[in-house]
Amino acid sequence: MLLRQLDESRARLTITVDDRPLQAFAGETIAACLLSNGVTFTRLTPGGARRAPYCLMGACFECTMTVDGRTNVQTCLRLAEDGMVVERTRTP
Amino acid sequence: MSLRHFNLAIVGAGPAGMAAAVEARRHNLSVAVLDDQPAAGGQILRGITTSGRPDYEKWGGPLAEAFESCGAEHIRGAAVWGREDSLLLYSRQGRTESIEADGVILATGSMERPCVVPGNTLPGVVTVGALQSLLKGSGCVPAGDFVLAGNGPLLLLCAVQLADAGAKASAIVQTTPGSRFRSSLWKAPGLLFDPALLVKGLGLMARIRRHGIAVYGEAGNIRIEGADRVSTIRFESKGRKAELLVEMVALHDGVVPNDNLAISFGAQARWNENLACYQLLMDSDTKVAALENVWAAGDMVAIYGGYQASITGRLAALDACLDLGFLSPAYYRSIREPLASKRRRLLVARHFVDAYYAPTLLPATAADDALLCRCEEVSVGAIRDRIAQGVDGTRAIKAATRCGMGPCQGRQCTVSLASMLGHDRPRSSFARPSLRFPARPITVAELAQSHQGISHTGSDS
Ligand code: FES
Repeated sequence: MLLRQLDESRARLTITVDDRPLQAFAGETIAACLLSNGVTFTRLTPGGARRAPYCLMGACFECTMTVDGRTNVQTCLRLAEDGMVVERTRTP
Repeated sequence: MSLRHFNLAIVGAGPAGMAAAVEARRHNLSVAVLDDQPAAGGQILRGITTSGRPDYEKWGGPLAEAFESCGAEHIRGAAVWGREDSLLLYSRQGRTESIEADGVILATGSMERPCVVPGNTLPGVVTVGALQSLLKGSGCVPAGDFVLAGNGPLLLLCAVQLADAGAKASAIVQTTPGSRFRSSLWKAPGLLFDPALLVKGLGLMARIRRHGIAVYGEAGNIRIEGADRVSTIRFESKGRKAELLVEMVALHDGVVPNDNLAISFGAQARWNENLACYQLLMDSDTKVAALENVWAAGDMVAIYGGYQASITGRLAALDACLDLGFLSPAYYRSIREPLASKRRRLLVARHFVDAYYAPTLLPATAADDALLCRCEEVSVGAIRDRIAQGVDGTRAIKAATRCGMGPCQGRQCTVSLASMLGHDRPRSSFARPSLRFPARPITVAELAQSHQGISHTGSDS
């Protein structure tokens, strides 16, 4: 776990990341939720290196994943919503 | 539903964008504010409208309140990526939408300067701004051991904010040269012109000491290591080698203008070797050169911080109001002049600001194995080799190495690359490489959708 939520009284919701249900808190971005749940990487580089959210403000594109079927979503800019389906973009 | 039309569109809902919106609404323009974040505030005031936390700068609250009640339409989560005549295209929740606007004010703020150190791409490495944004936006803090490393008062501020929230850093690794530290802290314009902040700034070091956070000063040769995530940070401090076991490292080396959208609209920028960053070419203090009816305000024009941004935001709005025919010249002058002179007084601090933001983790002094381009995995060594072989200029190096051609489109590496050329080849060509259209990577499906139905996009979401 890289992060922890300070206010655990927040409403809880569930998102699915690579077929695994994860608990998120209302008001968290998807990226924050991933890093609070032990998901340590969001994408692989063409060379196979693991990458994780870095800037958390939309500038580096390390956090891009497939969200509800849409590819290349910057997960640091999107709030987690109940029932969201998040997947690692598969390398071709 | 037909395409919605506004007199003015403002991109960015930070201090500059919010202030511009309030000013423009005061003169009866219809205003849309587009921002890629889920809530207003920008980076410095992130979460101010939602979190209710008390530790924002004192001008922030009234500005955010004025913004929320000014009657501007705030389009959240909107990543603007293109402009065709009066049409502004943006992507929101994966769909392309558009509005029509007679004028555009760009207020896209600043971004953290890339910190080029070996290991900076390992999972667990983030920026200090990222930790702040996680705290203010998502209410999350590091769960395990972490270190803040780099240069600038933001390091100290963030360390205190996190410790106050219950997440104490293992250490602060300060790369600021010993001689510069005190002067930067004292001479920061925000500290100089805001007595409350001055007290706050002086109190930061004391609070860090009270929290018992170790501070390693005059540090260099930072190296972050780990198998597939961070496990160790190594560095030298005052000539002594040190090594800390940590799960996260947050880096910071000051901020640079975030001019990407302006560049993709066709604006030009010039390399400023003293500041080690690009600067937009402007016709006046707010009017962007070469673009019709486009103004810019805040840190994207020059880094002066949030309070000044709120003033330049108002100035840009007034200039737009005049040019779009909403103000008489006499009335315009009567409002603008006092505001402009207030700004000039603050501008006296220019050289202080430059000292304050002077970077310390530039690639020119980095180890060969540090990655300069994260996306395409181009190392400092590879660029160094090309420069040694005589490949010259940002464009040629980009073509030879693919540096800047990945998903971030050079947002992270262009400044680093130019700073390396500036160091090795003072007379090199620093042309700011143009950004591919669109400014944001969007999907082909989205593009197709926007071209089919441009006149009715945004109607059915
Ligand atoms: S973490 Fe950098 S863009 Fe999302």
